Amino acid sequence: MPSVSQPFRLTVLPKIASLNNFATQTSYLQVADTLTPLTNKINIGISGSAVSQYIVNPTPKLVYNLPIPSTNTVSSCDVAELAAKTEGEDPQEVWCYALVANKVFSLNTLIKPSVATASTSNFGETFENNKVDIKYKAVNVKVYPKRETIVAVLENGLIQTFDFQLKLLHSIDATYGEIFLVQHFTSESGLDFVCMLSELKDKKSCFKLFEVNELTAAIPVKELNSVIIEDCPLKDAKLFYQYGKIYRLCDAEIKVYNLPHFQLAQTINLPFISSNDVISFKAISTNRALLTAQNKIYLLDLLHNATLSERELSHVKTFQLLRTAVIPGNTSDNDKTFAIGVSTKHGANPVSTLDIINVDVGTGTLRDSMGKGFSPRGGKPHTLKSLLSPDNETETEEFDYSRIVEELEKVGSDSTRFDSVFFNKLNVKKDYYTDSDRFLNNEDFLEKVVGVIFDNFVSEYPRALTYLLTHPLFPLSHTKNLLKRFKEHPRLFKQAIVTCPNLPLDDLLHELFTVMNDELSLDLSLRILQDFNRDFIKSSIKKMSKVDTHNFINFVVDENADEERNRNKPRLFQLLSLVLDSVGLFALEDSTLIKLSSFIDDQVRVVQQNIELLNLLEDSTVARSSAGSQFNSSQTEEQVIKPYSVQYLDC
Amino acid sequence: MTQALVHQKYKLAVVSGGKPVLPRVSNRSSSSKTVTCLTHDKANYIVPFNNQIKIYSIETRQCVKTIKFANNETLSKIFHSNEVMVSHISLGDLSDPEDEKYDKITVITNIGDIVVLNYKGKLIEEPKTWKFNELEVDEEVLKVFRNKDQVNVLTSKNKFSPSCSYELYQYSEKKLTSIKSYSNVVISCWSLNEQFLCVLSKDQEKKKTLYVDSIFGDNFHRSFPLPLSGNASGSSNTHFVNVMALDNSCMNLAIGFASGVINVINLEDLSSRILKWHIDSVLSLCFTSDGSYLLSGGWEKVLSFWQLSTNMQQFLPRLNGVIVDVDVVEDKYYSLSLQLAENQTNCDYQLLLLNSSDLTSRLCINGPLCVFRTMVKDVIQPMSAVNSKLSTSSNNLHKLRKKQQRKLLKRKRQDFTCNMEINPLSKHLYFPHISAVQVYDFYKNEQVSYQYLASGINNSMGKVRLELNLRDPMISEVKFTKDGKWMITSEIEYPPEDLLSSNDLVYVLKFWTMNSNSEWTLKTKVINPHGVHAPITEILMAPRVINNSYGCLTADNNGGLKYWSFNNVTKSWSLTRVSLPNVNHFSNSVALAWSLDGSLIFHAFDEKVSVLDFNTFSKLDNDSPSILNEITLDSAVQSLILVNDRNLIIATQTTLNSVNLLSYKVENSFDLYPFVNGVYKNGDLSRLISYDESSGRVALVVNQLPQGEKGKPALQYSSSVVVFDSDLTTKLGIFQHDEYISCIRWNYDTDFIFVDIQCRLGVVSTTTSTEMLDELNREGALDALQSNEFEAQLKKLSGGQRERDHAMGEIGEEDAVFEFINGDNSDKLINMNSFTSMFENIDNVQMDTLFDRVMRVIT
Repeated sequence: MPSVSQPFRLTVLPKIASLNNFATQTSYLQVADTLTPLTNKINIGISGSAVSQYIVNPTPKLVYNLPIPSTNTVSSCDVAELAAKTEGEDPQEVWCYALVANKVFSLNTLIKPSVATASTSNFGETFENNKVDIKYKAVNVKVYPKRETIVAVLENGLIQTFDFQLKLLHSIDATYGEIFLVQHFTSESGLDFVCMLSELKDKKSCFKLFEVNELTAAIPVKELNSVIIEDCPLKDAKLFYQYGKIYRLCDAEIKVYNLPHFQLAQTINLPFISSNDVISFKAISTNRALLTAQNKIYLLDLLHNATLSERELSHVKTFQLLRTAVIPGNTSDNDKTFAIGVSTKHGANPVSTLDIINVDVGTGTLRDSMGKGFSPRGGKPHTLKSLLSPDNETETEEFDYSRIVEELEKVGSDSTRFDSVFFNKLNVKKDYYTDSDRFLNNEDFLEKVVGVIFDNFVSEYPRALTYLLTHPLFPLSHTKNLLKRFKEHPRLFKQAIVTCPNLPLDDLLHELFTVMNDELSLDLSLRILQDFNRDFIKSSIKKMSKVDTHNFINFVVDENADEERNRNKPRLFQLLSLVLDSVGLFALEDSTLIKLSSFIDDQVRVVQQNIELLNLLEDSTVARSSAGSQFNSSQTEEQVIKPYSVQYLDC
Repeated sequence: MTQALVHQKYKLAVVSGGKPVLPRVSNRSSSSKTVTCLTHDKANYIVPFNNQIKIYSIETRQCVKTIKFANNETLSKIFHSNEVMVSHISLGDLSDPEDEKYDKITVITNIGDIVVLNYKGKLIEEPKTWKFNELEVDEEVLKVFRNKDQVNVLTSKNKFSPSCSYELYQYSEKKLTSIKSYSNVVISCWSLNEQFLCVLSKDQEKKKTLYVDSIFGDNFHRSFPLPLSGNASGSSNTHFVNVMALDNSCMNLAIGFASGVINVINLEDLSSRILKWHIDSVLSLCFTSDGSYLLSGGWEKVLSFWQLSTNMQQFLPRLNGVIVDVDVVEDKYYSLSLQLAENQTNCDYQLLLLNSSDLTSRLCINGPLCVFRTMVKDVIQPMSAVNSKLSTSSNNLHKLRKKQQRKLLKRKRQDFTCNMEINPLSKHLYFPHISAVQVYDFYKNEQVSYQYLASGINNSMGKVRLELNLRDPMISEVKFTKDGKWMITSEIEYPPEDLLSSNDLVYVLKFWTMNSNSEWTLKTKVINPHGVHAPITEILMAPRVINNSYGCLTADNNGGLKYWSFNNVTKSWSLTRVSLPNVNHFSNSVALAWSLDGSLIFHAFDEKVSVLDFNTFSKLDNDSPSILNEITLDSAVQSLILVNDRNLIIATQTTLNSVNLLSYKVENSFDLYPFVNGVYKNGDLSRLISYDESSGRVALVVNQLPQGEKGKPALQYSSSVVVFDSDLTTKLGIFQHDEYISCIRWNYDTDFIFVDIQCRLGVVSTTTSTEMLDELNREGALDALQSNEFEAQLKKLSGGQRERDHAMGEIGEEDAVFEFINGDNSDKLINMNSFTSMFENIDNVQMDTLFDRVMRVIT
C-alpha cells in the first residue's frame, strides 16, 4: 500500500540565516540529480558552507566535504561517476558545481576517486580541481560521464558545453532568460534531451526542447521544439518534469502538460492547500507526486486525483522537498524510493535539518486510489431523478433532508411524535420498505436518522426503526454492534437478522453461539449461510477468541418436530460442519462429543435402513418382472424396452 | 454552452437491417407466400423487406438499390405500421400501360394502396399513388393478376379465421368490379402464368370441394370434392391440406397434406396419384412452367424434384432452413423461401434464388437474425404433423394467434431483448442464432457469414415430427478480446425432454480464433466451467493491460468467479484464478466490471457489489475504514459499467446510479423502476446499456408500451435512447424510436448501434463531439495508461529534425512541421497582442522556431 514514512535525519544544517529561512532554503540547497532508489550517496551543495557527500546506509554520515567560502552560494550541483578506464583502477567521480559570489559567477569541477565503502573517509585530501568564471549564473549543470562533457544552462539562456577541464566547447543561445526549469532526461532509445521552461513577459512562457548529442556531431546541442504558451506564469509556480509530462502547481491548481509539444492535458484542483502555505512539489513516480504544505506531506495520484498517503510532521514547522528518487512505479520495488527534504523547526531562531523520507508509491492503480479522492463534489444531497423528461413521469419525490433531521432531533425521546414526523414527512405508507419508497435513498440522511434514534432513545424505540431495518440501504456504519443493542428487544433483533443488510459476520457468529432461542438460532444460521461463503465463515470462527459451540451443536442435533427446521436441516448441517472444522473436534466437551456421535450414529442408521428398504423394493420388483416374463415374455418385453418409436405415414 | 452544442450533435437514425417479408405468410389460405419479382431486364431481383424494398443484381450478388420507406414521405405514410405489407409488385406503371421506360414498378399493399416507384436513379419525391376504395374494412388484397392489359384483383376477408372468403375483382379505370366470390375458403392456389385459380372450400357439413376456374374470361370451370387419400380413419393430418399447386395448362393439381403426402390429381379425368417422401408436413409445392416437374419442400430442409412422367425423384439437400415457399421465376430461376425455424422467437426468413439449370445459388437474402428473449408478436411458425415449440399443428392452428396476442398484452414481463456484440477489429455485428452465429456488416447491410458454433441436428438437416421437440444447443453469449482476434462463446446444451436428466443442462465455454479463411476455429473448449448445474451468467473480457486482453472472467449464479487466460506456451486457454462461490445463495443478477488498469474487479451479485483485487482474486482487505469492499444497493444489480476508472455506473431493478469511486459517494441516481421493474429477465438490462469507452458516454434504452386508444394497450411499443455523460450529470440527448429496441452497443468509434424487434438496425451517432474540454482532458490522461505516446512523438521529433537538417534549404519542410503542430488550442484568442511575443529576441531564432511560433498563435 502506498505510504510515506516518518523522516529520519541526514544532517543538521549550519546556522546560516538563509538556510533556515523556508522561503529561500530550497534555492540555497542544491542536491545533485542522481537519486535512484538504490542510491547510497547523496551530494548536496550547501550555500555558504560546503559541497558535501553523505552516505545513507548503514547510518547517515558525511563522507566528503569540500568547503566553499561563506559568501558563496551554490546555484547548482551535479555528480557523475566515471567508468574505470583500466581494470584495477579506482572508479572516479566528477563533481561539478556552480557558485555565485557577489555577482561573480563560476563553474567548478572536482575529480576524485569514488569510494564505495563508508569506512574510508578522505577528509583533507585534495584532488584535481578546476574553476572557470562565467558571465551569468549557471542555473543548472549536468555531467555527461560517457561523453566527458558538462552541460551548463546559464541564467540568460545560454546552453554551454564544457569538458571536464572546463574548456568551453560549444555554446547555443536558447534566446530566453528567466529560466525556471531545466531538466535533462534520456529517452527509451537512449538519446539525451534537455527541456527548459522560461518566463517571458505578460504571463507568457516558453518551452524549449533540445537534444544533446555527441560532441562530434554537427550540433552538440540542438533545438527540437519551441512552444510559447500564454497565461502560464512560472514565477510562483512549482514545476517538475516526469516521464514526458511537466507538472505546474500554481494557486492550488496543478496543470499537466504533455511533452514534447507542451499541450495542456489536465487541470487538477487541490482543495486541501491554501495559498499561504509553504509548498513544495516534486515528482516521485508515474502520475504520482509528493506535495508538502507546511509540515504535511501528501503522496498524490494525479491520474485519479487521489491522496494516496498523508503524513503530518508535528515536530517541525515546515518541511520542503529538495530532491526525489523517481521510479516508474509499476515494478516490484515500489516501496523502496525516497525523498530528501529540509525541515525547519518552530521558533524565532529555528534550526533546519536535512531529512530523508522513505516512500512507497504503490502501484498507481485504481486499487490504491479508491475512496481517497480529493476533489470535492457538489454539496447538494443527491435525489432520485426521473429518467425522461419530468412531465413523462408519474411520481417523483424530493425531500428536504436536513430539515427533517432537524425536526426529528427536536422531538427528543417521544417515540409517537417521532414516528408521526418520520412517516408523514417522508411519505412512507407502510411499516416496511416498499418499492414506492425508492425515492428515500440518501445514505447520509438514513445514517443521520438512525444516529438520532440511537442517541435519543434507549429502551423503547420508535416504529421508524423497524421500518429502517427493512430498508435495503440501512447505513453500514450502524450495523456494527446492532445486534448487541437489540438484545433486549427480541422483535427488533429478529427484524435485524431477517432484513437488515450488511450485518458483520463476527456479530452474527457471536449471537449464534450465545442465543438460546431456537427460532433465532435458525434465522441466524440461515442468514450467515446466505451472506457469506464457507471460507470466510471458517476463518472468522477461527479468529474468534472464545467460542462456546455447545449451544449451537445442541440446537442442530436436537430432535425437533419444527417443520421449518427440518426443511433447512441440510443447511444447518453445512454450518455445523463449518463450525466443527474451524474449532476442531477436540475442543468440544466430552458430553457434547458423545451427543454428537450418537446423533451421527442415528443418522447413519436411518441411511442404512433406507438403503435396505430400497434394495428390498428393487428385489421384489425385479423378481416380479422376471417372474412375469416366464409366463408372457413377449408382451412384457415390448412394454419395458422401447428404445424407438416408429410412426407410419398414415394415408 | 458546450453541452448544448453536443446535444445537437447526437442523432438517432434507422439506417439498415430489416428482414425480408413473406407478405402472405399470415394468410393461411394462400399457398404462395412470397412476393418477389425480376426487373424488366431480368438481371435484378426485387425483394420487399419490412422497412424497404431492395433490388439485388443477380450477376454481382449485391444489393444495387434500396428504396427505404422511411426516406420518403409518401412511402412512410403508406407503410405506417408493420401490418401493411407489399401484396404485389408489378412491373411498369399500372395506371399507364403505355409507359415504355422500363424503370418503374407498381407496388400494391395488402390494404389497397397502390404506389408507382422508379427503381433506377433517384427516387422521385412524390410517387404516383392511389387506392382501391372499394375494399371493405377487413378485406385485404391477396394477389393481383395481369394478363396483357387486363388486371384482376383477388382479395380475402377474415384471414385469421378458419375459413375466409375470397372476392375476385376486375380492375379497370381505377375501379374494381366484382366478378366472382368464394366463401369458406380453406386454401387456394393459382398457376404460374396467372391464368387459373384453384380454391378449396369447406361447407357447413365439413365437406371439402375444389373449384378450379380461369381467372380471365369465363372459359374454364370445374368443381369436384377433395379426393381423400388413404383410409378415412387416419389422423387429422391426413385430411389437412397444407399447400396446393396448379400447373400452367391446368392439367394437374398437386395437394400437399400435413401428413407429408402429396396427391397429384389429373384434372382431365380426376385420377390421382400419391407421392410419398416427406416425413413431416408438406410446406411448399410448385410446378415448373412446362408442368414436367413438381417441386416440393418441407421440414427436411431438402428441396425435392418429382419428375411427373417417370415418378423419379431428385433432391437438393442441406438448405439453411425449412422450405416454406417455392416459386419458379421466369423459368430461369427457382425462388425458395426458407424459414430458419429453430429460432422460435422470431420469423427468420431467407430468400434463396437458385439457377434452375445447375441449381447453384445465385442470391441469398436475409436480414440480421436476432434471437429475442421471448417470442415477439406476429411470429408464424410453419405447420407440422405434431405440435411443438417450433411448429403449429392443424389442431391448434387458429387458437394460437389469439392466445399469443393475449399473452403479450397481459404479461408484465416484456423482455424482447436480444444479444448482439460488435467485433472491435472488423466492426461486424455478431448475432448469436441458436447454435450458430451470424456475422453482419452494418455498413454494407449484408450478412457476412453464418457459422455453426455448436453441433446440433439442425446444422446439416432439418428436424421432423417429434424431433422438433429436441432442443438445439444454444449460444448464449459471444464476446471478443479487445483486439478482436479471439472470440469467446458460451453455450447451453439441452438434454432430451421427459427424462430424469432433462434438467441437467450442460454449459460450455469455447474459445475461438480467426483462421485465414476468416472462419472461427475452436481452440479450447471447457465443459461445465463452473461445475455441474452452474450456468455462466456473465462473461467479461480483460482490459488491455492484463495479458494483452487475452483473458476473461466468467461468473456463475452462485457468486463464483473464474479467470481464464491464454497461455502463450501451451497456446491454449486455461483456468488461471478462482474465487469460490457461496453455496447457499443463488441469483441471476450478476454483473461484472474491470478497471482499465486491471487492478480491480467489481462483481455485482444480487444487490451487492463487491470489490475484488485482481492480484489476490479476493475481496479487498477491509482494514482501513476508508476502503469499502462492498457496496449495497436497493435492489438486485442488473448492469455494471466502470467509466474512465472513476465512475461506477450501477443499474439496479429500480435505479440507475453513478458512484464516484474516489469519494465513495453516489453522485447521481435516476428512477428506473417504472421502466424496468419486472419487465426484463435478470441480467438482460445490460443489453440495453452501453458505453463509449473512448469518451465515457453512456447510452441507455427505455422501452415503453404506451396506452393505446381508449386506455387499452395496443401492441405498439416505443422506446427512448438516453445518452449521458460519463458521470450521469448531464443528459446529452434523449431520442425517440417507434419500436422496441432489443440491444444497443458501442461501435468502437463514436456511435451506438441498436437493433429493434423488427430486426432493423439503427444508430445513435455523433460526428465530432469530443471537443468538450473536460472530456478531452480525461481522455488524454487515461490514454497515457496504455501507450507511450510521448516516446513515439519524441522519436518523431528527433528524427524529423534530423531529416530537416539534411534537407536544409530545400522546399517541402512544411509536412514535417505540420506533423507536430497539433497542439492544444482550447483557450486561445487571437488579438492584437498575440503576435508580440513572437518578435522578442527575433534576431537569434531559427526559421523553424519562428514558423512554429506563428502556428502556435494562429492555431
